[in-house]
Amino acid sequence: MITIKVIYFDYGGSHSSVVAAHIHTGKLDSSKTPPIGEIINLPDFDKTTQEDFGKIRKVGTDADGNEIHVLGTKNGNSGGLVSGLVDTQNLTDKFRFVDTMPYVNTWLRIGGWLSRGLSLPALGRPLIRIGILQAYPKLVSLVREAGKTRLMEVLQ
Amino acid sequence: MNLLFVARTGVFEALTVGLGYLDQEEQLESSSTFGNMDWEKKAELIYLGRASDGNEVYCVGNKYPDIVVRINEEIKSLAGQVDNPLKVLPISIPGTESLYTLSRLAMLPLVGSYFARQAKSVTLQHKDELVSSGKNFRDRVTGKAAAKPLK
Repeated sequence: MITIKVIYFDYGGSHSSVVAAHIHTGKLDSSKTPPIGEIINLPDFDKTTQEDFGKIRKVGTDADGNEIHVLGTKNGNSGGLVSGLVDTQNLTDKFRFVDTMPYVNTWLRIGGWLSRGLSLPALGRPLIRIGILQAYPKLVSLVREAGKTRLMEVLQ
Repeated sequence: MNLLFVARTGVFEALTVGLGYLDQEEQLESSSTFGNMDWEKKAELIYLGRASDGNEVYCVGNKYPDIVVRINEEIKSLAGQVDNPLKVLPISIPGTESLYTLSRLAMLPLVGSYFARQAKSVTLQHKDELVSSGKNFRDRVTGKAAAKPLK
């Protein structure tokens, strides 16, 4: 079976991308929003440091055997860049980059900045909790689209 | 091989260095990409052409060129064998630090065009260094720098 590497990316690689990746691997429920404790206890959630920017970190595999990864680009507009890096090296059949930035709401932005940017998690995490619960249903929809295989797209 | 020049601004610094690599620096001022803020906002790779050494040359702007280098290395590492690899070349030329701020201001509505002109002016002031940097990269890539006469 041909598998690909699905890489969820956002600015920090800490919140929306991590949650989307864990929904994709099945570690988080996609039928309903799980309790917030389940999300914030994810091993990668709200844990990144400055050294993690640009690193592609593996989260797991999905039901089809595709590898699921997360990436923080330290930039809010990296879709064109990452697709360009893949296109120019003829690697489009091996990678699928999925941008979770459109689902990063104001709560997540401010909370993420406080927690990761200013190292004030006590202030940032309450806001991140609100933001991630609001974004969750949209991230589920995004993952459903991202999880479609090329064959499914062709058949549709 | 493909080459990607990355600087904090794509349509000012990286473009000029890339044109220097291609020996097309005289086309800078007439280039539709030079100072084109629509391209800068997209943050996509801009294809500049094929060099005489056969390398395909691209440029892009990113506030953190080193992170672009790292992302590309991670992609190549995950991919395993890459038939057509891309080498990312980060650029930082002393004296051009103001270009990033000017390029951000150039994205503002109404007043943006003023700052875009300022950024173009600063780029042209440093054109020689930027172009030389591109030519130096080419000499390194093609190994010309090693061709010093033996004493």
